[in-house]
Amino acid sequence: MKKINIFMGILSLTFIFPPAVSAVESSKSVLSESKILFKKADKLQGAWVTTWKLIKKAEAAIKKGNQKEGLKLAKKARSEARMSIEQAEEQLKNWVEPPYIER
Amino acid sequence: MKRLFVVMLAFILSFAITPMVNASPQEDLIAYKNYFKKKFPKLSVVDLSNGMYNFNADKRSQWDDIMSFPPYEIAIDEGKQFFNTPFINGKTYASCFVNSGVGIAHTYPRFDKSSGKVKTLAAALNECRIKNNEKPLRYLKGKIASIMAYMADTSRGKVIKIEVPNTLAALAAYEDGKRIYFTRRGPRAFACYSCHWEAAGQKIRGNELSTAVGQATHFPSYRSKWGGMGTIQRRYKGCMKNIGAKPIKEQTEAMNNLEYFHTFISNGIPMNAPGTRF
Amino acid sequence: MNRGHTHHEHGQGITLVVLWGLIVFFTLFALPIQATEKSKTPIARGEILTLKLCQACHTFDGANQAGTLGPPFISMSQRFPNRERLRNIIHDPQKAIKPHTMMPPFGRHGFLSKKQTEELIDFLYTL
Repeated sequence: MKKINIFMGILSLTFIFPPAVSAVESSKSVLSESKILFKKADKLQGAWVTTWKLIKKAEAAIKKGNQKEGLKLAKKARSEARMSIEQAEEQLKNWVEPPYIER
Repeated sequence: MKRLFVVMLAFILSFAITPMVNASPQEDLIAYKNYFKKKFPKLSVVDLSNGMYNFNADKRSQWDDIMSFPPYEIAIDEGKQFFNTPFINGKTYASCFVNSGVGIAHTYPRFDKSSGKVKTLAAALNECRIKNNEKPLRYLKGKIASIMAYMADTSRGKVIKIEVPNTLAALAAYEDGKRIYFTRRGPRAFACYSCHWEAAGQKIRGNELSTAVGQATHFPSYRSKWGGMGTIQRRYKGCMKNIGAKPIKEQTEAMNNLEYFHTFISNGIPMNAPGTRF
Repeated sequence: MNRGHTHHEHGQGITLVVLWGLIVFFTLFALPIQATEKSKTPIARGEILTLKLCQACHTFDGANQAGTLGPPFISMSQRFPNRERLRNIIHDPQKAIKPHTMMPPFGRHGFLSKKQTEELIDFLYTL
């Protein structure tokens, strides 16, 4: 009985700590994804300076153990990287001279 | 069958001549100059090289005062010394250039047929160094900017004369430069044209914006912000960073193509370099 | 009856008083600063946003910078009686004004949250 109680106690702890464990994995995976996307944007000549700064800040936060902040920054970096890729791909197809240049 | 072959051949050839269907560089030049002529009827084509100083009498007056003792003079003297100092093997930069490098800066960048790519003056200088067993200089500023300042000074007053040969490769390089120029980048989605066409003459914060045509005539330039000389690609990088876009690396094909297009659109305007901007 | 205190008890008492004094002191001074920040009105927050995002290009009465790239902010509620139109312009001017506009897409590119956009509009409507 005592052993069962100890086991159940340990099992119940996994309900308390998983958010912290998953935040560690999640922030690192989001950060990794944002770096990949940043490189893709860079290859398209479309990377944003702010995205790289966010990536660096996220890295620093995760290194300090601030997973929540790290995840927030990594998500923002990922979102920016996606926007920059969208912009670069769109512009590659649709760049134009402005219409006020008469010919 | 023969008819089908002719049709197929014509179809395939249409891809080869498509670059010709875009407006030619010469047509672009006429259209761009006309745009600014219409926008600023009181400015001559030569005036366009004065950039932002065309649009603010007070700043123009300060600039005129500064130009009594231009801060780039030191760079010209240094550059001349570097240019004339022999390499270890006894040769000098003069051996690598037409007319010994005097009075040629206004024709760069050039399209190099052998490599099929644009060659900037900075790259040509380093090519010369490597050919003579010297280490290449770092780009953007320092010694290379001083040498370019000297060479530009020997071209002062000569009209910018960038050639775009009517070959697929040269036209592709020109078009690539044009694409980069008109492409929106960064979180603010600015393209080069965003500030230097319709907005030319207007103020962003406290500073008037210069016209696209005429900009390339005053590089390399002494900028008070830099506290020294810098090449046009140094300025491009600064500008890209200002708009939040990760700057394209200097002396890459993309950056050289941009310089090619951007300098071409100042064709016919006298070189006024090295320049000063405060 | 114990009328005296030991030196140790006396010292402990002084420490406690000092500690409480510090707590009260910092609370009294910290709270007003926090209260000021939190109590900034939406319109005031909107004005702060113009300094960061708008004044480089748009001037208005009371602006700190002199941008002339865009039209001045004047009679805004008369010029933009439809709030939704102003919201769309701020969000994506390339769609709402013209494709080649130089105005940045403040909403589309994440400069402003929805709440911040409303606060900005609230301020603009005071001009």
